[in-house]
Amino acid sequence: MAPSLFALNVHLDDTHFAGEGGAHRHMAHGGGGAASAAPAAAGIQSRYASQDDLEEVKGAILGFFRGAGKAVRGLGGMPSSGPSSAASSEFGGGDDGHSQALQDDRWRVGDRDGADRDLVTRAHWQQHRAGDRCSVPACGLVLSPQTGVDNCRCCGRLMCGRHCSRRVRLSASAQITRRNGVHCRACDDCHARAAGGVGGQTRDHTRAFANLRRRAVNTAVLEGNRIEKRLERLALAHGAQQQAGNPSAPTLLLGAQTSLRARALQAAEQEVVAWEDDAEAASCPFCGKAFGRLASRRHHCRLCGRVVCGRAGCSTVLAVPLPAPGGRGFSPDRCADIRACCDCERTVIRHRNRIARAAPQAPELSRLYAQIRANMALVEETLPVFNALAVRLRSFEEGRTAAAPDLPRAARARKQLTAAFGEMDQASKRIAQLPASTPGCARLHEAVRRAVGQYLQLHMFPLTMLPRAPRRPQRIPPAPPGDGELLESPTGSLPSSTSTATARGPRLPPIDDGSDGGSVRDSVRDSVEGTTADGSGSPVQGPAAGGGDKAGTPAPLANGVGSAATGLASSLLSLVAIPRRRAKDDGPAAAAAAGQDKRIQQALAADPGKEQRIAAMAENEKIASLGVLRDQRQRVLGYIGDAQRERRLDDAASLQASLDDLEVELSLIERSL
Amino acid sequence: MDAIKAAQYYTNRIATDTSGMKVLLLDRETTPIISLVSTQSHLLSKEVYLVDRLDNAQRDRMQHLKCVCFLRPTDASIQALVDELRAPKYGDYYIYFSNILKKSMIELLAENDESEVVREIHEFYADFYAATPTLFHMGLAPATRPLFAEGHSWNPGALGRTVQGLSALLLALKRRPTIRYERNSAMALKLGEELEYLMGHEASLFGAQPGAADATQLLILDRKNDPVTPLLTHWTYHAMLHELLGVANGRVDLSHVPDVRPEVREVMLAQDQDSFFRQAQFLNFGDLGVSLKEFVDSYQSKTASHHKIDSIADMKRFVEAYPEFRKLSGNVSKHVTLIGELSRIVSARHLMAVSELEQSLACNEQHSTDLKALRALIADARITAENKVRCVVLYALRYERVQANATGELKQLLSSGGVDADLVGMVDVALRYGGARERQSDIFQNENIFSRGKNIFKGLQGTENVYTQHTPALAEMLEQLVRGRQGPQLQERLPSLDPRARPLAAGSDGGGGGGPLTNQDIVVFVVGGVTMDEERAVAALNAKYSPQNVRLLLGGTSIHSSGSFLGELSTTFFP
Repeated sequence: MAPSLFALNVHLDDTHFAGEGGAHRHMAHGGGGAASAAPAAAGIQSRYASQDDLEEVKGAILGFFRGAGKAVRGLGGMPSSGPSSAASSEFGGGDDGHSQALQDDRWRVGDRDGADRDLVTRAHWQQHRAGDRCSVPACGLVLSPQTGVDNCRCCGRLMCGRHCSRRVRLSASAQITRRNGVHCRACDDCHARAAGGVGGQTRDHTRAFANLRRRAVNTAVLEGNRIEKRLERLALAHGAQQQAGNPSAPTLLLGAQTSLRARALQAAEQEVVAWEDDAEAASCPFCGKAFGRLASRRHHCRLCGRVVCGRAGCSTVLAVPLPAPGGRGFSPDRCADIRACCDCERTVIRHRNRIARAAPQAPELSRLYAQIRANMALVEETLPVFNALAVRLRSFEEGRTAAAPDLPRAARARKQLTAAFGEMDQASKRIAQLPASTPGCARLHEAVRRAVGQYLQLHMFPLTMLPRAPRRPQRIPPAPPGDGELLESPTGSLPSSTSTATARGPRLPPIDDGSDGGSVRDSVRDSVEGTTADGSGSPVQGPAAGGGDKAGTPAPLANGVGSAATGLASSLLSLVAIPRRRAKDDGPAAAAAAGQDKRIQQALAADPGKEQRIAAMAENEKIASLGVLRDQRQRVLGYIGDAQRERRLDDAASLQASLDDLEVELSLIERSL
Repeated sequence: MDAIKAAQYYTNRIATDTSGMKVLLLDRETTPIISLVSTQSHLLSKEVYLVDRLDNAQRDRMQHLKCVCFLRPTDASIQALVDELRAPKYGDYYIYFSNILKKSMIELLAENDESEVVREIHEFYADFYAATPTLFHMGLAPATRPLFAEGHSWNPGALGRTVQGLSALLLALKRRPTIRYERNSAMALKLGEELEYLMGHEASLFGAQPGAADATQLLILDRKNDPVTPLLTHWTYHAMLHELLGVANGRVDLSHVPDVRPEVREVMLAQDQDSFFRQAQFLNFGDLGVSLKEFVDSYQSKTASHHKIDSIADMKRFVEAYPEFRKLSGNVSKHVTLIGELSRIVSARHLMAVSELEQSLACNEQHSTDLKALRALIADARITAENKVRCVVLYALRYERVQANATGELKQLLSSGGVDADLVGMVDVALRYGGARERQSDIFQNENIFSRGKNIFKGLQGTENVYTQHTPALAEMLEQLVRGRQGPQLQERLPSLDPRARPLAAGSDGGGGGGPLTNQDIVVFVVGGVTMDEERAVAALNAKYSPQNVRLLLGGTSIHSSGSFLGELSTTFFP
């Protein structure tokens, strides 16, 4: 009794204040009392939640209870459920028909919806615990008051405010309805479902069809089995006859013998199925022609015993394999001719088809296709995560977010994606090369290839666009003490390639026009081998390298974007050569040591504090970090070798950049020693 | 209330409800239905790798494929499917019918599916041709499905198809409307009755009664009450394409155009993929030129920026924009070709001169001036025979009841001018079809003194553009309806099938009549075909009244140009 009185008091206060988050404030003050209010509130709510037509006042009170419950839960354990509880305790905002009638299907912050007014159930809501992430896979943000914590009123999942910003009409049981529903806040998925729900009545006949079919199929199966049995017995009878006839075949008695054998065979056949009496059949049951003595002779179907005529449409002669001599089973080498009417023939054919269908068909195509699909599923799962990470990486670089992004995770995702794309491409190429027995097959293979090309074009290009530089440090295995600084040094993190080019401009010899697309590859290799890398880590290095590689062995990544894409790759190739070429010309001529010096100078110019930092280190500290760095250099060299061998040229290039940074650090320390 | 979205919902589900390598089998009529709302690449992305016709006997056996069929429940399709099921070429069958199946059809299929390959059978009601978001039609063509049996009565085949198509549309939109029809039209009444019967019969699909919840109206109109609109030359882009080049299921065949480049021999028009077309479809010819120029300019500046790639940032931008860019370049050449061809035709046939006279005939009551101009036009050798006949037909319709009617003389002039006798005969055909005796609305506003006065008043207001004075009668009627301005005569003109139905004027919130409509969905169906000009007018009304939550959808038995309209009439209305 007391808790609800308390709650009512607070409510009265609140209606007078009607301020933003008023209830929340009150509840936060009166924490102890509210703790016991929660169960009562929940009880009332569950009792009334399903009632659609609660009066406004009642709804408001219950809504308040609801808010109280939430606030209490917030006190005990979960940090805060800021926005949603604030929204639910917001009585002041008028919720009238006009705002609901708006065409706009975005949820406006501050609106109260059906769930807030307790017109729509909350039984299916996901409870919020600390550390929960937004349920939208592409987002995955850890939910906090900053991101907003909202349950989609329709599917009940928890998500951040940005992804739960649609409005749909829901019934009291939180089902999507077109009419008579209450506007509620919902996620994009549910909104799409609601919009899709408008589209179209359908009707399913599958069950009725299956019932009807079962009857038809049962009789057909029975019939088929019976005919099969009969065929088997006929084959046995014929086989026995032939074996009996073969050894003794005196030519003299041929006529008598054959007639004797024919009669015996006939008797055997009649044992399988009783023959219809000739006299009873005046005409063929299929074509309806009257039987005559010579022109239209009577035949017996050996499988059903009916009398039929011998014309092509009415009966045929089936070749039935005889039992293999000595052994078990039937051999197709020796056959007996057995007459069958067209009905029985069809049954035989269908039965055979059914058996043939049961045999599994697993051509190469299916296997490759399954591989493609598996990779596609992987991409579908990984890509949104990766894209979200990439967006955060970018905003991190631009200094908009302070939190360091999850570099290793992004790198892992990217590697997975690249591998998946590569595999898809390979598989689709293999499919295109599969031998096609028919033009239809060829069309199918071509279509699969085209679809994969289309898919790669859609998903792979944005992938290669990513800023690569920030994930470089991830390549360096266990992080040593000095590594953090390495990451932060401007040369290491993200030098803009254009600025590098212009900065170097004056010192460069004139552009060498003679080199062609191949120079890209050369320059990439050069840079990987550590002679002339400029370490600019250009974002398009990936596709360019892949495109350059096209001439040679197949690259796993950029090779498979269909004809259109190859055109693109080659055009890119010619383009990318411009900045690269300069780097190359700079390269072999300059002595490695001089290059090293230059880099050190650059690094120092960019980060003047570095030398002091190193100088400030104690002797033993320097030696220790020297050891660590040398060890690291060895490892990175190893990684580069691996990447080279596996032809992951873009990876190699970014590894090379980290190597350069390492070298700078190393030589600085060495010099100071 | 978007015809294309309604159909796309079904095609998407057909493509996505089953996973795995798929072949899509269609029949003669579902092929255009699908191709209007879906594209090859969209199907490819949904694992539909082959699309074929069910009646193509040369298909290969491919057991590793799943087969998705989308068929109309016609006898021919069912028979073809039975043959397919007896000797199945693919692994599993998922069958979707575009309309209500008869029980006997299901039985027949079940009996013949002895190898148990059919996994699912559904009814997916995409049984209409969704030409634009606001326009659907039934694809009736005089050659395959003549509309008229004898005079103003339905050919049974056409009636059946129309009832099926309209009911499918209503199912796709999940509506059970109140039906209204034009009082003087037996065909509209017949269609309404058939539809009402079907909705009652299939109550499980349509919902029980046209309830208060469903504020949908279906207005069934008859072309004969407005034979003028299809006879005029229209000057908006999409309408011109229909009238002058002919659009068949979203495709324009340009192979007859002199020195056309091979890649634009046949072009596709799709609003959802072609932003220029979406923006320009309702522009008139003059504005179209300006807008095309802007389009080409923007393309050229983009090309220039693409040619200048010096830095990595440029390259990055290029790669990001590249697919878009390629699409754009194809689009530019398409529209340049189309508009170039339109303007060639306009000048070759002197359509400006023709159109001026047409508009005058359609909008203003000036008998002697019109007659003089018409005589001059007939004497002009540069004008094509079809256009001359069109003008004479308009004259005959407008001045049918005028004392000094000179139709006979004009026909004489045409014949002596060497116009084919069949074409000259079209004048009488049109009069028999939509003469004053047949019409119930006063489209020329010359039948009584009041409407004459209104007409003169309108004339005094002046016009912005001589070539676009005419407003389709349908648009005027709908506008009055939506604004709640219609007098009792409109109520009289459009009676409801259900006598208990509340009057049209009342909004759904029971305004008690007279006020503007709110929260109302109106499907307008024109027996005898619609024109693109009416589509434009309805789309404009949709945009104008969407704040009132009034949504309009236009449909017809077919989409008419002046040629196809007269062609259809000539099948039955020869005197």
